[in-house]
Amino acid sequence: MKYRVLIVDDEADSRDALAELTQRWGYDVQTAADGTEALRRAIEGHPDVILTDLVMPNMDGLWLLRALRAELPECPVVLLTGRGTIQTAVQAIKEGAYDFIEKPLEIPRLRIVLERALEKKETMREVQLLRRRIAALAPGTDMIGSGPAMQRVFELVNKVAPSNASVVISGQSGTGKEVVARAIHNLSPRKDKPFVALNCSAIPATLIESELFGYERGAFTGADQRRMGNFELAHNGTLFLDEVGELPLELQAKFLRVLEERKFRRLGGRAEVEVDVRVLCATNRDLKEEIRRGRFREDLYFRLHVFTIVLPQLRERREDVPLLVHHFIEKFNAETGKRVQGLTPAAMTTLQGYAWPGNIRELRNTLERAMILVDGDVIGEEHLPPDMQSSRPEAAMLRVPLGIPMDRVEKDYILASLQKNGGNKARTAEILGISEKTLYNKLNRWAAEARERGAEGPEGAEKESAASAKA
Amino acid sequence: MPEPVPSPQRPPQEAEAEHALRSRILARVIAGAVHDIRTPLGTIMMKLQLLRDAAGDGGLPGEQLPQHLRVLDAQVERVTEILRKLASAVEPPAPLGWVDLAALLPDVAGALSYEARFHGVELTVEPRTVGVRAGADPEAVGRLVLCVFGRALAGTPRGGKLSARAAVRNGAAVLEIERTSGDPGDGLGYDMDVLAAAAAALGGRLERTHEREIERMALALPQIAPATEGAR
Repeated sequence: MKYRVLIVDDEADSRDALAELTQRWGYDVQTAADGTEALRRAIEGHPDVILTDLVMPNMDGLWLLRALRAELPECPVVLLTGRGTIQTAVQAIKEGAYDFIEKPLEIPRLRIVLERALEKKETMREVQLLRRRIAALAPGTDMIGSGPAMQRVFELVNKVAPSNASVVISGQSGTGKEVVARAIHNLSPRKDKPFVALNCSAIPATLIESELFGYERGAFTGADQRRMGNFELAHNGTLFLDEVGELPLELQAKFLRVLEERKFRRLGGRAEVEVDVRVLCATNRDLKEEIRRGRFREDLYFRLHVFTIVLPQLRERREDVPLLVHHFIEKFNAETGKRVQGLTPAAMTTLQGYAWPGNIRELRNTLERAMILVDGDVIGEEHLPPDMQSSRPEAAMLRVPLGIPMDRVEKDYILASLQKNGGNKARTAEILGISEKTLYNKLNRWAAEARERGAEGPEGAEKESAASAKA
Repeated sequence: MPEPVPSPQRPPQEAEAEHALRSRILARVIAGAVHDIRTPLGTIMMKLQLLRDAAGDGGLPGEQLPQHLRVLDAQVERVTEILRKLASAVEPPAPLGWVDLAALLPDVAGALSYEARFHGVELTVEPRTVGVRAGADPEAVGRLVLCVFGRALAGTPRGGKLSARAAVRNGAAVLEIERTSGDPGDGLGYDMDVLAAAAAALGGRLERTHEREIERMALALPQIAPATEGAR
């Protein structure tokens, strides 16, 4: 498809030369000799970009710019002028011009400005489409996704939300389990009541009980006043327990009792507290495997698994990356006051091609970083993390001395990779082509070996520490 | 032939005020010249790029070359003419010791034509084939004509009109300007007083009259009649 350019200049020779030049660059060119004619042609022909002289008879460039902002707000207008004062440039940009170029035109610059203006137009067109799609996706929730996998999730959420059923939301870390939990709450009859979230893996095992059930004054040292737990705080509303697989086994029985009887006792309390709470849980662990290993109660498992929603990984729904990108850009724009419009096509291709081991959370963090780095209104590849840019060579190298055992090479290589990925085990496993579980097993084994050597004497520990530092 | 009236010694503050006014007008003249030169220069650069591209593609079809050359010639001619007008407006040629207002006026108007377009003022200069010779210090006459014309233009509102002509009236070389009145509070009165003093110093006078929204200005300077030229 050829992009359409409208050139407006009262100087015939200048206009014709510019038209000839832009035609050679592959554009479909129309011309107008003044602002009035240009406005008429623009409304009829909907050009993709307009290049206009500033000083013209009848309607000058600034008047044309104002008229175009009202008629064709998405069409970028580039002002050309022989009178390049800062005041005029500032005024032009304030009035909404995409750019301002002084005559005599620097031809390479003109070409770049044209290409960027068209890129911006494309971005804005995509933004509009995405806005419409997001608005139509899952009204009343923050869930985003247009592919079949997420459509299935929306269906399940819509079906289960009105009930009181417990729901287990499973999916890898960063796939948006809490967002889905909030969506269920927001679409349920409890939507005007509290939504209380607790991440079981973020709290030491010894404190989870008091967090969940609260305590009476004097229940333990430091308990100087009664404190309500999350169950009480969520009364009539929804309690979301993230990483429920981390719940200590001894607490699981008490938890099951609350689910069954809807009553519990605070720590150090005698009286039973009755609650009406809907429980939603999330986990990235295989709970059946946990049951097999004796780390999760089977009766609690069946009590919780009234309804299960499995969230896909981001790499299984790459078609949703543009929607999510747009959502996060709008969010960060609102938070920071920036006016980022979108991504260059190359940057978007990079994001869509990336494996996303950290799922949506990683995408969110990537965009937050890019929004900090970007000065203009379009995020480019240069604003993405270097290791995400496929064209860049890997910077990190590992030197391995000849004559050492293979298992030592493997260990050094894995530890170096882990270090390069900032300790992110999911991403490291993805890059190494092994499962996360395998990686954890190896790391645990090496840690145990190091502990054993440490117990044997300082010499062994020193040796291990030196090997890690080298990696 | 009567000698041009020499410029008398003037009070320093009067000369300074005229100088300041001239600086303002000159700044506008230069801004206009910059624009008027940049546009043809841009066209020249684009044409050269097209010719280079064509040469890279294996040459230009024969019938297209004259068209490119015609445009290039026209742009060079245009730049030359802009520079001639600029030089004439800033320092009028006076090889015989007098200035022809009929020749100077179109050059001054040309040097300020971009300013007129920029501010949306319709500018016309009545052509005249017969010379209107002002017999005063040529440099001072050039300065005065530029300032009177430039100041009248600057005071004309957007959408207004300004027309000018050079004529001989009652034995004087006269520059007549008729324009749409602008904002009375824009300082034009003060500037015109400064310019009237400058005209008086050259043995002439500057007069202003109003009729509804039309203002007329007449700068009358001592004339050197063509008949006396041969006596020189």
